[in-house]
Amino acid sequence: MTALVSENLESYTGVRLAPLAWAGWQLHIPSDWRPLKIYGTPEKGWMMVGDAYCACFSIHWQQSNGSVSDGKQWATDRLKRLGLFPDSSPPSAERFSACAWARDVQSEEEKKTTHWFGYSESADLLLGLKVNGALPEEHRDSMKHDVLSSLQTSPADDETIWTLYGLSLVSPPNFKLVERHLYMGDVALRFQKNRQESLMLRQVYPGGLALGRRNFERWLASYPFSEHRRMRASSVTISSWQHPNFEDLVGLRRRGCKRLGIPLGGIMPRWNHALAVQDQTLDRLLIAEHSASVMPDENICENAIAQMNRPLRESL
Amino acid sequence: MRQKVKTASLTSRRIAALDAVPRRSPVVRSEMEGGKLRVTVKMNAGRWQRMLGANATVNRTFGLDKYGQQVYEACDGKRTVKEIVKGFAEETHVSLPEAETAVTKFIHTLLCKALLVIEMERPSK
Repeated sequence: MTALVSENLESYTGVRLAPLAWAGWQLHIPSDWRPLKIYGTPEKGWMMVGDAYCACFSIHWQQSNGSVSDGKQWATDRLKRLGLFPDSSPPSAERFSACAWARDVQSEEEKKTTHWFGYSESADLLLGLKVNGALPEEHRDSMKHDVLSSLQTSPADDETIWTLYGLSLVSPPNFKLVERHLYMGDVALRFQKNRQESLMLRQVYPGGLALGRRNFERWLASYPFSEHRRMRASSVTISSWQHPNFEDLVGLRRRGCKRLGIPLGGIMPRWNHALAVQDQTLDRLLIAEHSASVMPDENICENAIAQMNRPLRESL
Repeated sequence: MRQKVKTASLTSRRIAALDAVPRRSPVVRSEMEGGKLRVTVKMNAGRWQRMLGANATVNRTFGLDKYGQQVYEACDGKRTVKEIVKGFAEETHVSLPEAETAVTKFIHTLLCKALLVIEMERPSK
């Protein structure tokens, strides 16, 4: 796994930087910028990022699935389609198989847009980044020196990092994102592997406030996505749990079986292993729930919990 | 053009609001009870209440949890909203944009309940 861009960095203009990672790519943004809109799937989609005043840039991604034989040609063609010629020394060139950019292109009066395209063979990802031409000069500098130069990808067959709003989650290899639940103070992502196995990762914060409203068991019972199967009370075993390596991760472990309603209860039951812990250092409630047609591997949930917010925890 | 003017106006209003200094209004009583801070303030009674014979002023009590108390106590008449947001984000380890949304909404609620007053310059149009 590529190391996640670290916390507590300062930008070119002296602003604190925060990591942003989604669908296999990672970069740094100034800490007061945020994702404004996320659209599409991990295979193809785009994200718009901005501050409280305007959109600063948009990033488009698409899995190439072997459709690109010459990455350099692809990146140059993308610029040509926009009627642009590539400029020299594109940022992050050393981390991509091929990339090209056209900087400060005057599209309208007082607008200077920058376009960047890159292809990563190891991540099997095509990326396009467009900077809002109407940004103030210092934001445009920050885009070139901080955002574009920090862009990197993680290998396609490796764990994937998902970082936004100051939290980070890591999905195991071959688990694809299928649903997301992004609310202030409550972020959950659901991943699927072979339609038989599903992993839900969730963070609720501040943890003290969350646990003041519901206990661990009730948080485990409140699944943020719609599902047909229900946990059968007779199959549930609950025990207390503490992470073997991190003493501040304390909570509950639940094992059980989710079944369809009567009379379909015998059809394709899903065995379930879930952990809900309070991260006492960051004051967050961390939940991981793994379902499969056979009893799931407990290490998957334990690893997912241990990897949540790891860069942030290590920086404290 | 109209859109540009509207955006500039919103920007100046936002900057003015973030630079404003909120201050706690005088309280009748303030006490801790069951982990919550209970603050009692004197308010003008509603028109209907007065018509039905109530006094001109009434005491109202509001309960603040740990996080509410943290923001309320930060409104000391010295710190700006921006500084309160930054402090809240650092203490609770949440991102700045989320802290800004949560804190400004909460300060707005406290203003509506007369627990805070805020002095600010009228933003330029």
